[in-house]
Amino acid sequence: MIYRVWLFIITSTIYLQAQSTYSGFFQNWTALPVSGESRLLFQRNQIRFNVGLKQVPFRLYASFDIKGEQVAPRYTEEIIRESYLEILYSGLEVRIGKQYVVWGNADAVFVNDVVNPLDMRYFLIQNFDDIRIGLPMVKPSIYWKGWSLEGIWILRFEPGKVAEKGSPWQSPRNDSINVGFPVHIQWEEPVLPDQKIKNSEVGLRLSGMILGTDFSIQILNSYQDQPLNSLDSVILVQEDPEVDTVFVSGEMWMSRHYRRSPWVGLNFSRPLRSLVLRGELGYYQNYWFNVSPGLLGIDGLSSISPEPHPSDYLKMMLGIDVTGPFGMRASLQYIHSEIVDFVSGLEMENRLERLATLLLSGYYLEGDGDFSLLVLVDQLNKSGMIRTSTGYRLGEKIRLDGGWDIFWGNASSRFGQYDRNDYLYFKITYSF
Amino acid sequence: MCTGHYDASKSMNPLNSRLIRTALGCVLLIGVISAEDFSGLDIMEKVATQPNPRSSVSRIKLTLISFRRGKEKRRVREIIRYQKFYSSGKFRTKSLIQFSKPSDVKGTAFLLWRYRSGKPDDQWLFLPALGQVRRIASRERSGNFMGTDFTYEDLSGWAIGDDSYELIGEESVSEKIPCYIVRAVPESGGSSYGQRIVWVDQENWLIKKIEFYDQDKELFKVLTITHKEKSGDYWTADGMIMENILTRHRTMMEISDVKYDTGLRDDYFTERFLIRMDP
Repeated sequence: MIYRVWLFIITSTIYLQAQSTYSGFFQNWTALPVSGESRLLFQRNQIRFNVGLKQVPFRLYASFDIKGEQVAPRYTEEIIRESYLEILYSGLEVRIGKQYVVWGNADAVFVNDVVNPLDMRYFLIQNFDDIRIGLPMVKPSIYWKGWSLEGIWILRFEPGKVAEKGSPWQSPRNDSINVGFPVHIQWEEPVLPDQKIKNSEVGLRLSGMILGTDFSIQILNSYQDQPLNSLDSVILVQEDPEVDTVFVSGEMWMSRHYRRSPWVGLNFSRPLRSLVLRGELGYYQNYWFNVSPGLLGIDGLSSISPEPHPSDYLKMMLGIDVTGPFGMRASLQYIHSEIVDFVSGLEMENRLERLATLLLSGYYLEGDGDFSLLVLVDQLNKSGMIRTSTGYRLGEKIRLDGGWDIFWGNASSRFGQYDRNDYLYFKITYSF
Repeated sequence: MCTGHYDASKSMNPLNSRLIRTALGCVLLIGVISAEDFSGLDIMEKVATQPNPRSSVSRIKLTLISFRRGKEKRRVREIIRYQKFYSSGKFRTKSLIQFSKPSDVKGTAFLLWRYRSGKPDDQWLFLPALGQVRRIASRERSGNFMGTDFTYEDLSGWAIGDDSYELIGEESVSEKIPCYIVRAVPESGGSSYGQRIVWVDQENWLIKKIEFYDQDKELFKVLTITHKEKSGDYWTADGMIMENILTRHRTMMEISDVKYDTGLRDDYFTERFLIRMDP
């Protein structure tokens, strides 16, 4: 249906001689593991087509994506990334439709970029504009003397995406635990909130410049991207009653629901000579954390509730960007997360999380070539990731890219869980 | 020969205090021939007091020409530039530049605010692949723009008070156009150049050529205006070549589809439009 609508709009616009613009690319992307295994880790053919149609005071924009995965698991992808109508009148603007809203500017991590859910089915290896998931929303904005007030009303909740079972990017999840006897866990499908007005999500953002500093404050009342686990029931089975040894096993049913968590965020960035100092602070009131399944209350084995645990949760980032000669840029970030009301037995085992990132980038061959080095280090868990990449522009439309990602750390850490997935990648992109 | 120094207390038409824009966006100039003797400052003020538009939109094609192993190699960069000029108030200019070629950077956009007080520029960059607008530091003014032979200093121009001027002679340049030759020496430490020698058309006060010298007063770059066109009240230098004498690298700049005074509003030069410019 939506495609017919777009076909009608494009035809009408051409007839009405509205101003139109387009862009896009075709990309082939192949990733090979460096572990010596003779398999493809990732291969994707992707066609992107962006079209903008303008007839003052209206503007239509759509971005279409056709992705073909060559390596299992092959996910069903949505073709429309963004599709919205924008109405502009002087200092007022309303954008209606599926869109992205970016509230955070951190490199490689999402601190205050909290509006759109994330597609983490390939962890961080996708292009960054493929990681955010578009949301249907209404976004009115008012602009006045350099200040802007932006509201968002998200009509339908969309969860974040994680890798399916069998994917090399799946986070390890226990399907069984041992609490003195084996217990198998049955994970139920997550239950999405009903599509009702009361379940919609809302946010507000005020931004402007004060004394040369870009500044914004934002609030959001939304659901968390990932479902929270609740223990529904436990069945204990005693087998072989006729023999002397009693063998006990169990089945545990875990229901999964999405929960709301109000959030307030603050951003700033300020140039200081050849540096830019920037920061983001996000504070969740009653963010929900999963309890570790092994510590759920079965027959008094644990004193904590089998329900998700609410706690205020703080995330902050401080970063410095340095611009040097020959297009060199260095960016250093420190990210601190803290569960304010921490209790033991949560899936997140530490109250604190500290992450440091370094991004170095630059150009060569008069801008035809570029390179970057991205390092992410989880300081407490001693794990990390290094991404090295280089690209070369072959003429005006073709670009070649290559590089490798290396993960390290123990298997339960954020990056170490993908230690086996170190890979080399090659991309060829035709842009238009 | 005579030497002129800018007197800041001098009562000036607001237009007099405008930038002398060289290179990109410069030379929007007409004038009246005068037989009187001029000082270097008089000549540069004549250049500066030409009618200037309040805003402009133009398409700029930059062809980078280099030689490798005896072969000429050409690369093309293309941008669309929106500019607003302020005759008073705290801003000098605001510019919005959108990259349209090469295709892989299409949609990348750059916002620049320049201040009358000399305060460092405010700059923002929109990267469509990340969906982010990032504040960026004022670049080294001597840094090259997009790999071309034009520096950020060349593109942003300079105020008449930034230099002292000296008329050092007269000479005919291409097409036997008689020109004044003016030496401009930076007064403040903000320039990467030791001096510039400027050829000014005696007939219409258009800049025809500029030689750029380093801090050791060695010539290393030459800008030649190859074509100009008048649109309404304004002259546009729509063809120019910047050549680096040391590297033999050249950049050809062609400006087309120029529209003046289209009524670009102030809020066009904000983060809001940086994000929502069409790809």
